[in-house]
Amino acid sequence: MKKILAIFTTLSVFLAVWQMTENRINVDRINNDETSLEAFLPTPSTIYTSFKDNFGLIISETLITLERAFAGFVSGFIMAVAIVALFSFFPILRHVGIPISVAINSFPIIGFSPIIILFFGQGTSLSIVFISMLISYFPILINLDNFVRGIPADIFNMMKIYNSGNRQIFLKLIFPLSIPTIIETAKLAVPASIIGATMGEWLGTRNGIGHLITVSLYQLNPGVLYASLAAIMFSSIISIFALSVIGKIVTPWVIKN
Amino acid sequence: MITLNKITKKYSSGANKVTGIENINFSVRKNEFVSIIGPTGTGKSTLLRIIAGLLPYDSGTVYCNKQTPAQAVRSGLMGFVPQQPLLLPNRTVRQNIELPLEIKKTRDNDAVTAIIELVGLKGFEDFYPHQLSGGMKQKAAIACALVYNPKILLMDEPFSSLDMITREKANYDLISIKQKIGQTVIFVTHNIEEAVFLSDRVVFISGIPGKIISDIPIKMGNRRHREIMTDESFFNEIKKVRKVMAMA
Repeated sequence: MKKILAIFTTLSVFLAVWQMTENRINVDRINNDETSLEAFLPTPSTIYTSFKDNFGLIISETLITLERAFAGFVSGFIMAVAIVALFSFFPILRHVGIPISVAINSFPIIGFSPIIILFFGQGTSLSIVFISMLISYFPILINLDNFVRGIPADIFNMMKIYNSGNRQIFLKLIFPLSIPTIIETAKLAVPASIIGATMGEWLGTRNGIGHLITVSLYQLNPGVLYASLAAIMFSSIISIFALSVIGKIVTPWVIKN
Repeated sequence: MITLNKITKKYSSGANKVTGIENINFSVRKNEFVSIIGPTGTGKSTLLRIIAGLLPYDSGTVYCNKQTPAQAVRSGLMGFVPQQPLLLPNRTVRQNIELPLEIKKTRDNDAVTAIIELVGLKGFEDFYPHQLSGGMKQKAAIACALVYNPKILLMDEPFSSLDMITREKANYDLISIKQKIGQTVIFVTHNIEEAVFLSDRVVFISGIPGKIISDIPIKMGNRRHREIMTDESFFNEIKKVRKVMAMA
């Protein structure tokens, strides 16, 4: 409760300072016949008004984006876990798999996006899901792989003494022990997948919050633009919070300092 | 029960090969409790891991109940208690003890309950490992090794991280468990008093590469209780081991 109160207080102070400072600057600029900052940096009250006036539109577009981001994250997650499982069954594959994954991650995916969109077809959700998946799978893969390599060899020896096969080692040892790492990594990957989906929508669709941002930019409507960005930001915060709650429920054995 | 014949193990260090243990011969009879003592780096744990089938060896033969170590592991003959209690942090005490049975697909709630009572962890079944003391964790690790009723128990300095009082208590508990279940035990330790108190024989390994210097019988029969630790006969057995060590 104290934590929530601290966050709320900090945010309120930040917004109040932003509002008052910008109001003051805008008064000076208008008196000097200069353009108001509202043209490219609206005040919190303007963003709030835009959000309220376009509530239905922003929420529906955000939900479309979240659906795509979620699909991308889940595919990325499944892909990363499957690759780590393959590494644990066939350790030799790791020597090939990790460099390939690093190479894919080093590739500027956003620059590559138009080709992905052309490949899957303009206006389809599949291209956005694919971009989102490419962005989210890598942190999960690398963190999970690092974690698995850090499991003490003696625990694997103990499993061998119990006469367990690779499948049992993965299901009884590696996967359950990896859950806290997966959840912590998901806190990075979920916002990344939302950003990936939003950026994909700038280029390739006629809906979603990314598309709304582009349209509001062309229509010189910074209020909607910032309200859309705020919606994305709050979606990420809520997803991180949800992951923390899920983490507490599914890993009661994790000791937090 | 266990026979080691001319076992040699070499380790690779870059281009060089270093011999860890050389020409180790010894055997352990059924239900016997044998301790292996010796200085650090003389291959005590290596020897135990070879018997457990966890390490390959370069020459010689190992048989556990007429089976190779790998076959013995497959047939559930072997239980292993490592230096650090390896309990899975995501499982409660009970779930950790159930793990070997889950893997062997032989769920047996009665066996789990019995072993929890035997090691003295009744009331702590639903605790996670981080909620247990060092001694309790080691008891849980012993329960994990015993729950599928292996005929051979290999223990690699299991009490080394415990304080002296807890360690003595763990020794009494181990003797009590051994007397009830009757496994063949090979126990690696640095502690002479512990080795003498627990064992029918003490095998002293020394040198680099590690070799068996002496195989010392301990003549205490079944008198393994708290009072014996202040008895003349116990000190005489310790003196006997110390003399052999001094001559090495």
